[in-house]
Amino acid sequence: MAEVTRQGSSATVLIGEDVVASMAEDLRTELRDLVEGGVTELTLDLIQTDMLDSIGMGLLISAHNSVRDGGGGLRLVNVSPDIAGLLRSMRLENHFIIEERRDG
Amino acid sequence: MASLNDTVLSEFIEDAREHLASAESDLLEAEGGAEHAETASKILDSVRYLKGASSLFGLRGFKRLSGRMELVLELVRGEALALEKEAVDALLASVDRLGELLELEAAGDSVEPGAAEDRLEELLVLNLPMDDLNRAARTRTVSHHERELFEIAEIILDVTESGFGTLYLLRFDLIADVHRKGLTPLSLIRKMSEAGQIIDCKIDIEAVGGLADSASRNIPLYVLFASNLDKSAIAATLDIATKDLWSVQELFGNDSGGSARRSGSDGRNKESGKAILPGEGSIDVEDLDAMEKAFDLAMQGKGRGNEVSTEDEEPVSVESVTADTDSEPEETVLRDIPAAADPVSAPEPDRGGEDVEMFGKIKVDRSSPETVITLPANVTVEVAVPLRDAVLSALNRSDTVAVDMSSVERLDITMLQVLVAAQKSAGSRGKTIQRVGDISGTVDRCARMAGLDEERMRLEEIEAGLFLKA
Repeated sequence: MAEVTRQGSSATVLIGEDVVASMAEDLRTELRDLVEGGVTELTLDLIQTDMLDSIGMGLLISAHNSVRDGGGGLRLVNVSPDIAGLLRSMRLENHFIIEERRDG
Repeated sequence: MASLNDTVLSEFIEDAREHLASAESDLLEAEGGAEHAETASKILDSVRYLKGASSLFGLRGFKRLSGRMELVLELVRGEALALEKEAVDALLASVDRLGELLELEAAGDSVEPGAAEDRLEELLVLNLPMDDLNRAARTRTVSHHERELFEIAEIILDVTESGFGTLYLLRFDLIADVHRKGLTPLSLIRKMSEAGQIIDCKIDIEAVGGLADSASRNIPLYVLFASNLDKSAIAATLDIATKDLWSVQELFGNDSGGSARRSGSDGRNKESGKAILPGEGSIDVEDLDAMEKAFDLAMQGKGRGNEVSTEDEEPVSVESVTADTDSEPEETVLRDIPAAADPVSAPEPDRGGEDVEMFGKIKVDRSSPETVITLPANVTVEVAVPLRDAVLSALNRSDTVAVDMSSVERLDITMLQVLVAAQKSAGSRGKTIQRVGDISGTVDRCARMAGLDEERMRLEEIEAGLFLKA
């Protein structure tokens, strides 16, 4: 499950699995609690995520919308090349930061 | 974006440097090469990413110059501009300048693109006719329900349609059209990439809501998509309702203008020779069974209008053979094909000579001991009925039918199913359908992509040589 590191209004969430329908509700609750608790700069670490389905994509967009409304931003790090390509092809890099996973 | 910290910006800078290095290397390799459109397409992906991300950081000069590069690369991709030395040099100068702008603007300086931008403008002025220059400067907005979705330069609209076919606006719902159909967004993108060219995409993020809202029930995705397929073929290939796709010219209310612009594009049609397939398409067993059954019944000569029957069965209507009552009406066009296989009610073919019959563009030649069916270049759903009639006519009169597919440049999965069903049905009656002449790579590729490899052919007990190269 997700590991959260929080520092003031910033939080990094290490998501230890694929971001798909079966886990989306739990993650949504966790992220919502963070945002309601004052987090505006949200980083999601996708180092262990190799699959993103439509529900998962909707969740990422919801997270972006929430932190944006609070004056902050969303950043995805360690994104697999496939998922980064997908998010870019849908022009989501216009809305949040997408940092591709480095080799090794 | 002011609220994002310096670490994020420096990571973007590192990422951007890699993209720029890759673009530089691609440009250097491209000069003198033949695959200009492919190179431009690859660099475009990077440039679009950099342009989008730079806007998040407020890097205005960087964004402006990358936007101009995007236009030039679009023109190269659409073959309106050659990627020769002059263009390569101008683009390389822009790549260098983007690297500088990255450092300067990230440090807080306000900087103009300068000479690099002028060079791109000069490239356009020297290489494009005045009319094209004007159209490069004018943009059209693609809107839907008063929602402005995409802005596209008029010339890009033209070169896209010349190079890739008709430009469409597609609307998907990532929940209903993707998730509930067991697909992922990535598989959808791959499927679209195989059926045409994705020009731009946009998710309606406002429709999704925030974390405090319940999980979104719809995630609208709009796609500007160019393809040589017509609407019904796109609907079938991408499994999308025709109500969710529009030709862009239709949206502009400018059909005559669109047709006029497309009229000179045939010679540059890059899609010719490409197999038209659903992205992860494979032969549908139920459809195949239905087609085979329809062929069986038709070959028994029991057809009665739209009804066919066997001695042991109740009369079976067209609809009941291929029942799919939940389908959109337009999808039934494909599914009705096998059940309508009825030689008795088939229209009288044109006579092309004593031993030759023409079924549309399909020729059936009985001048030699074996009947030869010659297929035209395009064997797509539009020729479904003539193909069915031609095969049935040939099988009804000969024990051995040869199919000549040497001219086939485009073949879709439905037509492949028609041929396989005919082959199976014929085989069960001791008749043979075999290939004559060479086979194009398109047919072989189409068959393999549809899952018809040697092993599957063996299991289906059909002759692999009809569709696969040895």
